Amino acid sequence: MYVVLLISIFVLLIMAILCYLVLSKQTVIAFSKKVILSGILIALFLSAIFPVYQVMTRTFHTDIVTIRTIPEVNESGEIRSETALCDVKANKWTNHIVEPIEGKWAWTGEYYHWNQYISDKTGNLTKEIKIPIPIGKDRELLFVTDPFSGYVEVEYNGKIERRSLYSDQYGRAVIIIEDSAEESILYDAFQRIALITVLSVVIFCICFLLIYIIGKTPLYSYVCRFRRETEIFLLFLIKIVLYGRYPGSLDYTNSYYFMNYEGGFSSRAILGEMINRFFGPYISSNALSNIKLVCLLSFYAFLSIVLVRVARILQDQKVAVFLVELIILSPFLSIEIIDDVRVDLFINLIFIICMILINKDRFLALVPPLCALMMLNNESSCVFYIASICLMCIYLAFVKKQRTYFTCGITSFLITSLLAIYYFVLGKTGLMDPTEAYLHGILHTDSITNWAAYHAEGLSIGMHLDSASFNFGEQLYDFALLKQSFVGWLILLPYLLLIVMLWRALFIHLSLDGDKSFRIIYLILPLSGFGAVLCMIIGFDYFRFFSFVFICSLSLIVSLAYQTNTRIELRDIRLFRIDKESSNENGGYVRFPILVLLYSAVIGQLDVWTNTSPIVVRTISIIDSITR
Amino acid sequence: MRTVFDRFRNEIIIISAVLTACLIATLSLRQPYCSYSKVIQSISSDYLYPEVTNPSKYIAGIEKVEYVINHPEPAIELYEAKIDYHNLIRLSGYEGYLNSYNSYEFNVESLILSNDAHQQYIVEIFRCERPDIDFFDRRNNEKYGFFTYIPRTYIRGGRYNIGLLVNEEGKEYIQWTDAVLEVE
Repeated sequence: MYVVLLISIFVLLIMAILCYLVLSKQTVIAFSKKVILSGILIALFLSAIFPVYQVMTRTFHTDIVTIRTIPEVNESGEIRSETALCDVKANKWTNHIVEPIEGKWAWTGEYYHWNQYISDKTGNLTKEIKIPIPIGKDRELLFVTDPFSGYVEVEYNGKIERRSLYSDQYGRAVIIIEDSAEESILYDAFQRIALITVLSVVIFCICFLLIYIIGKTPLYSYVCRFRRETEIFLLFLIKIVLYGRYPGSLDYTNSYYFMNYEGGFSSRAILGEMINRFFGPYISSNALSNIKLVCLLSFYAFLSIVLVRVARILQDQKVAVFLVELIILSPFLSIEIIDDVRVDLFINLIFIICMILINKDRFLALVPPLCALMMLNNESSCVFYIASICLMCIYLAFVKKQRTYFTCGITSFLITSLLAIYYFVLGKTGLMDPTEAYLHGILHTDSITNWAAYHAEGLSIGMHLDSASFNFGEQLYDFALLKQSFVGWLILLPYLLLIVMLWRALFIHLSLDGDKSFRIIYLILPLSGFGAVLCMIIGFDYFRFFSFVFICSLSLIVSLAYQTNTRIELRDIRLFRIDKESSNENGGYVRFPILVLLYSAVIGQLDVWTNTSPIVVRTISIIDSITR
Repeated sequence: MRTVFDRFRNEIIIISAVLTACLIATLSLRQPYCSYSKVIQSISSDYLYPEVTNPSKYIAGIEKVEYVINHPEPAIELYEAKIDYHNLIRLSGYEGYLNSYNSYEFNVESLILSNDAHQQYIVEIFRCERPDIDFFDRRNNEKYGFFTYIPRTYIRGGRYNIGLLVNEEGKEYIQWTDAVLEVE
């Protein structure tokens, strides 16, 4: 698999070099070589991303495994009838369990589940299911073992293996499935390599041809005139393409679209309520996919317009582009992608509207209600957005010397604090019962809904903040979350370096000016975030948001300070001291931001907190192998 | 007007925040409801749709009438008072053309429930795929199926005949089926 990847990367690199050589001979491109180069880079990434996704996540062929549950009656007459299939592993990768092709078990969001109670209640569960598993080697089926489980029988290739899943404690039982036939593995690998090659060539050719045709037409000069906008738009295109599988059928995130106030007040139900009111009561999976896709594209269009307008307002275009790239890379816009436009797209939209209202000094009275709307949508991740809004209000109150901004910031803060206290007192969901909400979900759609999502929302907020959510215990055991946090920070490092570069430029500038009071403030600024940063390391779930509050606020403060200090040039933003006379080209200094940008495009998502991200898992295993 | 807004901007912001807080408080106190109730519309018993004259070119019918959960568990009886999701009736059916020369638009628009006491309800339907039905022409997205949910408490008790409200060339007709719904 890695060989295939390396070959494809090598092929792409050669193609890029060839393209560069061909294009550099043409005089017509001398005016704007950057446009062509960025186009080539984008073509490269487009052609690399699809194959990577194809290779890493799927095999073309599957084998069928039959799983049977066999209830067990113990000495006291109790029936142990539970069987839960929680994971399928093949080729050393954890694969998402796919739906059984024959038979039906209940899907709990994490595993397929059979027990007598659910079977009697629903009447449509079968004792036997057939599931497809990817062909390959090292294949395992993982079952849950607990005090309620009976026997399970796994049949593959005519061989039957029976295993007792009974255990005093919760755990996992592994049933190893024998390897597929060599010829089918080879055939599958061959098909994947062929697909990679075809996809790479086709996508590359399309992108190359488009750029070439544009270069030959009058449109080219038009594109050159708006090359910044084009670059920004293409940048968004990368993000959209990265999520080519979108709109996904992530059942966990889909469930949130069906969580509303029908069963009582809930902390994250406003989006579900709105969608249900407009499109309900029944929303098919197709309709849901369309709604999500339209939302995503509208959001990106809106964002592109806003960012391009911001870039045009600023005097120095290079600074503008730098800022725009900083905004794009910020965790604000990354999280929305991770959550698969569950709730954070909505929050991002409201956040941008709030920022525009504040900057334009229009309809400031709308800002506190909009903040409340954000809080109703997601009580935890909205915290860092609201912190930035309040910060912006306070900043403008001092700059413009208007009390209105201050009132706006304080009321926004108060109303969200009030809501936060309300959640803390009532518990996370208050009146909503997860069972009721789940029933509502499955009745209102044919798309897969996940019981775990409703269950998570049914948990009290206290559960997220109790001692179990601190990872001190786990740290003593195997430092699991500490390692995860460390990897998270490694992934975020390039973005943080951008902020450090800005901060350094400002600090040096202030030092040269001799403004001691401001210099001390800028020195204290990074130190102020230690408490918040520690939250990421010591705790889980909510703590990561407290940590992000600091990152977002810091990037906002530094960006504002940079924007107000127009005397600072782009050449001042760098990590190390470089002799100015040796390099007079400004373009040299934007290499790092561009590298960070491309890095972000490859990583795709700043998935810094879930241990399901392959990057995090892989990096942790490397750390483990080094430390042992 | 603009000067008034400018003069009282702080007050307007505070009032808007207070109003939002009140709105949220109201939201949290709201009574649970069942959104499927909006699929039912009561119609006058005097209004009678004409019956279909030529139903032979397509086939349609009610397939199943079932209660979503017949016997709620004691543990969730508490919630039954709050919300009617344990009191839903599911009606499902299908329709399709027998040959490919006819129009591909589906005719069934909604369902009509009518009892002996001349009470009539019109019920909205939702389309769904029915890959298991294979005797129709398959060019219409396979959405031969339809279904709906009716909250049991939103219709009066009695024995209802189920009819299909069909649209033929812009006119609405009713086609009675053999299916019967009994509500306690």
